[in-house]
Amino acid sequence: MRKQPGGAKESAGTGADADAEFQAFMAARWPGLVRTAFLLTGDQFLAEDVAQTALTKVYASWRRVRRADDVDAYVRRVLVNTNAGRFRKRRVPEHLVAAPHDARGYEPHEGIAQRSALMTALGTLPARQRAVVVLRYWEDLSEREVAAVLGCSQGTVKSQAARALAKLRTDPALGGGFGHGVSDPVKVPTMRKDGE
Amino acid sequence: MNHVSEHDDLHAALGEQVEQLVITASPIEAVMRHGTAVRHRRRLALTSGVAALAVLPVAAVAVFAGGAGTARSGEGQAHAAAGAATSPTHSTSPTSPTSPTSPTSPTSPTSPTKPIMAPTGTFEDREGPVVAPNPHDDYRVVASGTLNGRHWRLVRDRFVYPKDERPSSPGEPNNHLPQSQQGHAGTASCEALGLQWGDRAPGTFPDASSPMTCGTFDQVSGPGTLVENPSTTVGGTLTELAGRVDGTKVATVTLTVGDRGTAPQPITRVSGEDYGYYVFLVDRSVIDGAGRYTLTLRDAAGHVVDVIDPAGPVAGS
Repeated sequence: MRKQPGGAKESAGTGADADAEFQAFMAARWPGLVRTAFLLTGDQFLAEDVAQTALTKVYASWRRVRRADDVDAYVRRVLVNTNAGRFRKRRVPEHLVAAPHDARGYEPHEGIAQRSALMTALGTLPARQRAVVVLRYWEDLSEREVAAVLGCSQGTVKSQAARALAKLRTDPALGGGFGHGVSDPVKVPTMRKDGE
Repeated sequence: MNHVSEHDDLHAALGEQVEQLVITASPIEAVMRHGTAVRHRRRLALTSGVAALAVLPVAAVAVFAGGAGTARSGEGQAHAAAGAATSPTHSTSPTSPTSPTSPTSPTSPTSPTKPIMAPTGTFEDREGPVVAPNPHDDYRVVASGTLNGRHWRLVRDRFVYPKDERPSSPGEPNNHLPQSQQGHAGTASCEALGLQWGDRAPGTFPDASSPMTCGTFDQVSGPGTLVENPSTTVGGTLTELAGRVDGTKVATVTLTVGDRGTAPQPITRVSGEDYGYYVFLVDRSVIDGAGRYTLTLRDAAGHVVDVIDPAGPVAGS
């Protein structure tokens, strides 16, 4: 999914106008959000749940959100935070933590479609590194944009991406490629700077 | 090596993964229905008076504001605070420069005009066998105070464990490793953060309640995420709200519940680290009654950096 053209901008209209605008926005963005969420979660059911939850949050604040300079960026941030929130909620026990959650990864629902080596490898990355890979290499965001989504510095994005790629390069399941098949491996790229 | 081409190759490889998806119809009706419910709850929170809001900015107010209890903020090894002779002072009177009646930034989702009152409740003692702090763990008292005559401390616990194992909990065979192995291959780290009541050594169980974040050493020690591990822990008639923020970006945290809020509370920094911590103690009825709350993060200039809703706006819907 390449960047999609900018989103709904404010049209000083009624609530009905805002609802119609949101409906159009959601219809256009739903497939892309689910795909991104799938790469973040590795599970289509979870992906749809995360995308739906994110859009619910967006709709609840739509009259404010629609005035944002970049609605898509806002929604993307909500999506990533909603996914991260799945971990946070698991870390909010009412009493003592008996079995601490390991944020390095998570297992998707069982019985879902067979996973590729690439998805398996992505699943071994820490959540933040995985988000960096998805935003940087799937959404094609610049380091600056990824930093804005994740609420961190560009330097952190750069280092997280470098670590993630280094790990993918050495993942035995990928065999130096990205799951296109043995005969047509996709090399793990080294970092490039914005604008390259 | 052609980086651009490789970038595109990875993009294409990721694209292959999502090509297999069969995208269902967008659940527009459910989204709008739940979103509308969220709006209604917000409206209710704003208009229902929240008179029952017996609230509370916390003891942390005094600590964070640099008031009394000075030596209790962000310093030293935890054990230094254990059984401290001087009771960490606590005042329910906010000492921060901004009065809690001051409106928050216009960019805040709500504009609390009433202060959150001091909590009247207390925390129930946790039950269970007493387990001494883990000798391998690095405990630090981030903040402390006294509430309704009871001593509390916000305790941070960092430890290392074999990454292929589940980190042991108190009472289980201990697999925590010496701090000297922090960041070594084959290890992972955790940071637990929670309020501990009473005067036993920090990290003593079951006194300590410690939601935790685990991952690589870099993840745990940061820098990175703006807000990490915001937790809501309920016990007795109190709710504890605590978490870690990126101290290079965030200077204060404000708690807003319905139309009430605290003054911006300076975060507590740990010397030599980028992160800072916040903690609020609230009567349980406050959060339970409103159903949700928000934390407004501001930089040193008072600009809103972010507004977070740790529970998520659809929680409970």
